[in-house]
Amino acid sequence: MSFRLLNRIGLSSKHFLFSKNSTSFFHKSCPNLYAAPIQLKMPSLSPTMTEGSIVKWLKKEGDQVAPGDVLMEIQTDKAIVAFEIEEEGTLAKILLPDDSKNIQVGTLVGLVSLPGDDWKTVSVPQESASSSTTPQVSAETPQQPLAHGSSEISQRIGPAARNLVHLYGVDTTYIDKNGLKPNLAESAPVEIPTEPKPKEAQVKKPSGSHPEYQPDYQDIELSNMRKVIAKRLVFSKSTIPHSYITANCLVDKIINIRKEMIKNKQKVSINDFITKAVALALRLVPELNSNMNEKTGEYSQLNTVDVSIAVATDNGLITPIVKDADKIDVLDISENVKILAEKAREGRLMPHEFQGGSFTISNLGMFGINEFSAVINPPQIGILAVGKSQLKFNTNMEKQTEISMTLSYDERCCSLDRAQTFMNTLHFFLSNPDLLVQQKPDL
Amino acid sequence: MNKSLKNLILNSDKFGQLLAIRPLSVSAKQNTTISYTIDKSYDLHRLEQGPSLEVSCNKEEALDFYRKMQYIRRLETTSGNLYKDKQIRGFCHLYSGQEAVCVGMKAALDQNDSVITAYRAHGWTYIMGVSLLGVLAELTGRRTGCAKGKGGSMHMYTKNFYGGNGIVGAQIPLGAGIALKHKYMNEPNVCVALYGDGAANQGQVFEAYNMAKLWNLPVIFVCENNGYAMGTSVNRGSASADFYTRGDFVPGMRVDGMDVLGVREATRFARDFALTNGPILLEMVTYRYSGHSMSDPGTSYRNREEVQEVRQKRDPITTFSKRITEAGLVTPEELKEIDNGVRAEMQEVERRALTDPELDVQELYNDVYYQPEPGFKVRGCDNFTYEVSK
Repeated sequence: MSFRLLNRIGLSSKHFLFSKNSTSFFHKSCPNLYAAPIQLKMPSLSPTMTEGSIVKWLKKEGDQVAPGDVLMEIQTDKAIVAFEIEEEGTLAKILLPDDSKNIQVGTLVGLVSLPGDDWKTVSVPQESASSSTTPQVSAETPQQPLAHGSSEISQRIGPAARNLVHLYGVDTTYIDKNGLKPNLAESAPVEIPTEPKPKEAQVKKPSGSHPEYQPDYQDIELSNMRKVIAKRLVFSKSTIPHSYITANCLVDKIINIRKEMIKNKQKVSINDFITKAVALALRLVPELNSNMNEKTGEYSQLNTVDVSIAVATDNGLITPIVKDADKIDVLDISENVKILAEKAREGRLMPHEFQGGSFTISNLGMFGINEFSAVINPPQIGILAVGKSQLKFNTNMEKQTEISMTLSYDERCCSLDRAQTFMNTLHFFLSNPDLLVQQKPDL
Repeated sequence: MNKSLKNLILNSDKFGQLLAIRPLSVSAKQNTTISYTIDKSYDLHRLEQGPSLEVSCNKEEALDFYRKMQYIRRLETTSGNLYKDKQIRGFCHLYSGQEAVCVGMKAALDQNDSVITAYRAHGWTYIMGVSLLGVLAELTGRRTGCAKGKGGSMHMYTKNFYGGNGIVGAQIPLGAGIALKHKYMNEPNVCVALYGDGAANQGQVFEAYNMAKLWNLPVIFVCENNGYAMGTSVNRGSASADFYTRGDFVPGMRVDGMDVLGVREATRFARDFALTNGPILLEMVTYRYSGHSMSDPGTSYRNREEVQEVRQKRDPITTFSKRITEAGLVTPEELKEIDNGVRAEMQEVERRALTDPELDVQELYNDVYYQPEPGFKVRGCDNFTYEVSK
């Protein structure tokens, strides 16, 4: 390299540019002062190539060469590629013959003398044997430390690996420096002290054929009805401020009246009495007989008392409506509910038979539920959750039958005070069932 | 050129005299100027009259053109060698064979005219005013590079030279935009937007034609047709290889891109035309000796004989040197002297491009945003590194 360098420095561009006036002298007397022979080095002919082999020289020493001529064929890591020259001159020296294998990129393989030079006098630069790809340090310009030449290991860690180092809190002194070549790439061995390597056995593949994968669950798509129910429940629970109060109502008298009525072939259920009682209570406490208009933020007290009865079907609850429940007697209610419930189970309810309503009763007593609380069915503002009848002792140690009833109400439209009044009224009617069997009790 | 002035010259006795006495081929009588009729007449599209077929230059110009073409050729040879020596990494697209286009065009442009090209940009970068070291050190990633070594082959810029664009064809609408700026600012300048025969098939090219014609922008679209897109010959990749006609409503002209004086004459004409009439399209028929990029040996879709034939018969440098020496304008010694000077200077440039310091890593955070606030930080390669940007 130094030979070549000296030649170059011997005639720098400055020198040449200043010598314009004496060009004729320059040209004639020392035409090739600056002209070191052209060095042919093993080229990198693909991005991944680090070494190559000379398959065959296509020119002999002493042959004239012109730009575009192929001097030799080179086997790269991928293919045999022609080595072209872009210069004019004479092939002066072949330093590595045909069939030279595994020559490092940058290794000098031949020399080309420039036109006008005697190719026979061309001498091999001294450093020819070694690769000359390292940049020379200029004497005039003080060399700044190159970024990649820094000895600090932390500065040589690539971004991906540095990320890992940060994530795992690895001390860089743990990094196997032998694995660095030349930068610590992500793939370089990083010893992470905190995490033990997985055991060999765990990694080992099982032999034999692969069993077919059987998932231990079953995917079930939501039915449209369940989707609608979910949507309405979410709307209700997330927008209506629910409040809950629970009361135990005595139903012994109802049970007695019902037994008598059944004897008279009047088949009514306790639920029919409750429905009637609720309807009358709503008439007396009209705050709960309201519908909320979410759009306007207003609620309206309704003139009629239409009680929705929750009916379980295969797909979920549906709430057919007993219209004017306050005006008809228990037998009519019973008749209505039977028809509606049957229609509901058969899926034959007309929209007007389940849409609207001013209040809902959900009774899970027949399913053995003691007590529960229900979610308001908008635009209604109240729902009564009815549990099963339970035998209890009162303070006088007398047996009595109680039903736990929980009212969920919309705190926006109804105060606790009115809700309490409603529950007391309900309790009163249930305790006086003779008022319920009249078509229109005289209140 | 002013129209009345043009008429004056055309009608003058002296001009008529010149026409009458000038031989059709090379005039060898004078040794201060050279005049000749170009080999191939210009093919015209929607132009009633093209540029003069007579071209001429004086000795000073001839030496200048020769020297510049040699500089570019040697710059590209050096670039190719350094790439094969792994000193230049990444992208590298060589201009060897096309030198006459940029040298001839630049000679006809005003210094305030703008140029934008694609990534085969080394020659244009040099001719637009970046030093040889600025180009080569940029390629080797040194701080003396024209973009401080940050950009490499695809990102070279200087005043009135808008790069070096890595996106195929994207420079063409940009060039139309630069022409719009000239027009908007009432500047007497044009923008030259260059692209290859491969990019000529891009949709955005036709959008740029449309807007340029609609607004009569002073833009010269230049298709440098070097015969091959990336691995595909013109006839395999283009339904019409008459690139000068493909602007449809944009007038066009086919020019022998290997003849530096013909290129200059055509560019003069196109420049005058664009300033008064709006866009014009020049197809420069030229050739590239190397592959599309350094990853392309350039011999899988054409044979070596074809390349060698072009080198011998159409090479822009050797045909021009032959012409000017045979005409007695210059002596072979003068050209030899230039060759040696170019070689020596390039060796010095190469040495510096290999030894000049690289940029500090810290510098990578700078020049990301235009005039950032003091203390503004830019994220590094990972989520944990933030550095102040200047």
